[in-house]
Amino acid sequence: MRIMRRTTLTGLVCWLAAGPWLAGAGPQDPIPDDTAITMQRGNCEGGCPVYRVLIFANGDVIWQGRGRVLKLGVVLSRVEWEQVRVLIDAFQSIDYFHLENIYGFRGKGCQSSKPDMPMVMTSLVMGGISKAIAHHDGCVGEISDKLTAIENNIDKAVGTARWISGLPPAKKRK
Amino acid sequence: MSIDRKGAVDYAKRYWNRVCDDDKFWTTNAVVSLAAKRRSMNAPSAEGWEAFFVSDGAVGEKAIFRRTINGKTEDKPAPIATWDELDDCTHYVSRCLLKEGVDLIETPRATELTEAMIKHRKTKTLAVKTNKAEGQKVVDSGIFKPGDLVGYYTEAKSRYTHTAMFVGKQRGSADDPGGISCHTVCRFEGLTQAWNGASDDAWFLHEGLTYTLIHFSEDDSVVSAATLKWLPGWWKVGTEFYFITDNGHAFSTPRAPANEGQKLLAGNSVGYYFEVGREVVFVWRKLGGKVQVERWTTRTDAKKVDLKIDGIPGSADPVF
Repeated sequence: MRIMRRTTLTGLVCWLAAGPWLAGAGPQDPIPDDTAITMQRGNCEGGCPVYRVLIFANGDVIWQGRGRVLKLGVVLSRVEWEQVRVLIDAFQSIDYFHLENIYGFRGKGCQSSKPDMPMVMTSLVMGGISKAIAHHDGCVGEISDKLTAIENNIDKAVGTARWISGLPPAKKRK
Repeated sequence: MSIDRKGAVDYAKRYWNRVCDDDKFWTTNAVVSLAAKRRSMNAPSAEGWEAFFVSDGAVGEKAIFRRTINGKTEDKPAPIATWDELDDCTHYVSRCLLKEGVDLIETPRATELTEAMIKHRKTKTLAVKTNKAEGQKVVDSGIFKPGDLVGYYTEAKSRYTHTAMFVGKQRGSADDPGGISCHTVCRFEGLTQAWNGASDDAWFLHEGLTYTLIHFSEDDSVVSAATLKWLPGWWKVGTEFYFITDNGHAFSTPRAPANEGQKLLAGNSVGYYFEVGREVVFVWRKLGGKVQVERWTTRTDAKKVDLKIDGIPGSADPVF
């Protein structure tokens, strides 16, 4: 899979404009309209759920179940604005835009590696810049652990468990 | 008809890295007919196209059409199926076992095949959800043979997630723990690394699994009449009392039998015994997935039998 980092002139302008915001946004700061968070979980030898989720700035969610999930195909859903905010904060807290493109591929950069785990692709588009990271979920390491936490947070925010195994989504926190 | 272990291993060696002889493979959601893919992807067998499983360059593999003409290998640019879709392990093992002559219903589901083989009337389950060290005792006992089945159980998923066929010690080296052949990802001990880079083709694969070891017993040596004269009945081994039947089963209890006629058909441990040359080899399934292998020497003393329990000398005394 190609992993691209794109910085266009427009993006640079947007990035400069969003500078203070990217540096550490407050809870009420606006979310740029172009924001999109994606996550794709891949297969593993023991059979892992294969699916994609896409979250937009306004909270719109697209789920695509591709294999080993209860809900195959596309579902449209929503998350609260606050949940998008929390996810973006999580990305920012690990300086996502400045990380490497790949973590844990064939054990690279891992203190240890758990077998039979999937590759997880995440990406964040925001304020005209984008970043995608391929991460082996079995990789144990400082950055890898943080990526795993973000991936799990995306699952929780979207409530993917209801489409993976039929479990009801977690209750929203007020 | 006896089972054909060599036929199964030969079949495995032929198809371990390619689509099985039924021209089908399984994905997560469906069976894929190679004939249909050949048509849609313009890959007729008459033009040399064969379906292989190859590394996808990341963590998994993909199914592709490949042909070699005049020493030049050519792949179709699009895969037949990607890593996210492939799920052919148990279909492949089913095909291997069918070639072996095992009576089974073909299935792509690991739990279904493993549980069916545990219940099969011509199998002996030598270990259930055991760990690598305990399972190695079974492999090293010599009772577990090429053509036998390994079911891989993942505790976190509460199900069997993989199956493979044991192929013996293909490397032939003293430190070879014994290997397997499987699909998704494709492995055949000794051949795997050169094909797709995977080095985990020993029977235990990797951490995070427990193992159910199922032995096809149809070709086991018949226990001799001479052995059946002295072996069945009650024995005391250490603090345990064994009840040994005349049909290859054994059961263990810490409670002494009240009389010679008492029978035990369930126990703390359940075992099978096999006559191998001048030894009787017991493989016990003990609590907590533990395994114990005992080698009893042919009886020469009327009052006791010398034996080794997991390699440590001991003795067994008849209770009556």
